[in-house]
Amino acid sequence: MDYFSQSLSAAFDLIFQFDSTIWQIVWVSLKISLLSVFISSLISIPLGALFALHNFFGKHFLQQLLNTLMAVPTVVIGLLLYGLLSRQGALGYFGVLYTQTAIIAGECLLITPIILNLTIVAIQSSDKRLIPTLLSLGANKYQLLIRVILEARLAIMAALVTGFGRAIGEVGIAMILGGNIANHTRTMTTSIALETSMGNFESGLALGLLLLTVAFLVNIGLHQLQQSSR
Amino acid sequence: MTILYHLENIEFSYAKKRALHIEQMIIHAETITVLLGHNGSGKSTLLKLLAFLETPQKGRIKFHNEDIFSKKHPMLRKKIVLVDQKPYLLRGTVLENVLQGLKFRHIPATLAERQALDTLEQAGIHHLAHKKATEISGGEAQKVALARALVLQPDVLLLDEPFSHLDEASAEHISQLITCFSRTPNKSIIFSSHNQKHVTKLATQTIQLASGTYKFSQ
Repeated sequence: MDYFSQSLSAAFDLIFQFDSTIWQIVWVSLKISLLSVFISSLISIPLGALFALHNFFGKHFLQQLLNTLMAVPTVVIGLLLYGLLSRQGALGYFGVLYTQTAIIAGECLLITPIILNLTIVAIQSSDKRLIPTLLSLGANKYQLLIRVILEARLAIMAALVTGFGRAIGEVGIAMILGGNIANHTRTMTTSIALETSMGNFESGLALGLLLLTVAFLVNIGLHQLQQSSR
Repeated sequence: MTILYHLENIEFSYAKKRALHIEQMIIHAETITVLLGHNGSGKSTLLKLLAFLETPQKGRIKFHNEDIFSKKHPMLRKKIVLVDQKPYLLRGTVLENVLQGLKFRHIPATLAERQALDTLEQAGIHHLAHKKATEISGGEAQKVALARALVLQPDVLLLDEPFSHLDEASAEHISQLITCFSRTPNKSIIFSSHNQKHVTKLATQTIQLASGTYKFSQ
């Protein structure tokens, strides 16, 4: 217990001394996760709305597939993308392996099924009177899509936060595709793994606490947004 | 008299349960037509068909003597508005709700807001303009939905039980609004109701449905 409390005290010292290495790692993690959520939402939200609003052959099968993809381990995505992005791989030409771009690509692959699926559920759970009301008010296809998304915005925001939580907390993709390079691709999770393996438990703990704080702040932010858009 | 709707051999079912069977029905333009019938007689279903929000499994509906095949017909969306018995109000304020249809029609913002506020005043709910739609009562919601439809000045206004959640004074006020709207040239109103008092007072044509069946038109 002594060991844990001493490490905890050292971790707080590291945080409040504003250790630049730690804050650089926090910044890289936030940047990568937020960009991944932003890119993924540009694809997932409109696609999810279209999916929810239309009936087509194979829809049920596709939804089952999306459910399965939500549970794909991060190391599997990391491994697959590594095969594509490494020098011998099909996309090796771009030379993005061990860069933040590679991690963002991997995290987009990880969270797109999550945001997409949760958007579909959010829209499918909307009030049954919504679409007839919008059609009756004269909405065209594009206006209908936008308005349906806006009506489900609270649930969609929750989907984005779930995606963000998954992105910032994952380690497999960041480790395999980023390579854990200091000041470049080192994220909070890869750093925690590294520091702990090197015996620097207090540094790992400091980053763990920051990770929890970031998750907490994002949830508070979402709650405020939900309250204001009710 | 001009024919607004001509329905022939209409069959409509929910799952396998038949909800409506109409051999022939004619509804005239520029009238106030009332659909009568007990619960489950198919009045709401008929209104949805007339609003082209549902497509019958069999038969055809002519609108202004023209066969309409698609419920997504763009022209209809601007001409016909249906107000539900339990209307759905969009997230946001009452004013934003009334503005929504005008936004869909790309009416300039200042003009749209003036029209919306005028209509809210006519409906007697001007004081609710900036209230959130989720915070108003069922009767108020019905008035907001009516205002949201009236502001669009549709050629055909379809109302499902417009007096059902209203007290006597409000029902009287809405009935005056309906009469006033029907006096505008080229406007037709079709509504379903249980309230015999408003039917006798307003109706220029009545249609009686019995267990989803209607056999001929008068």
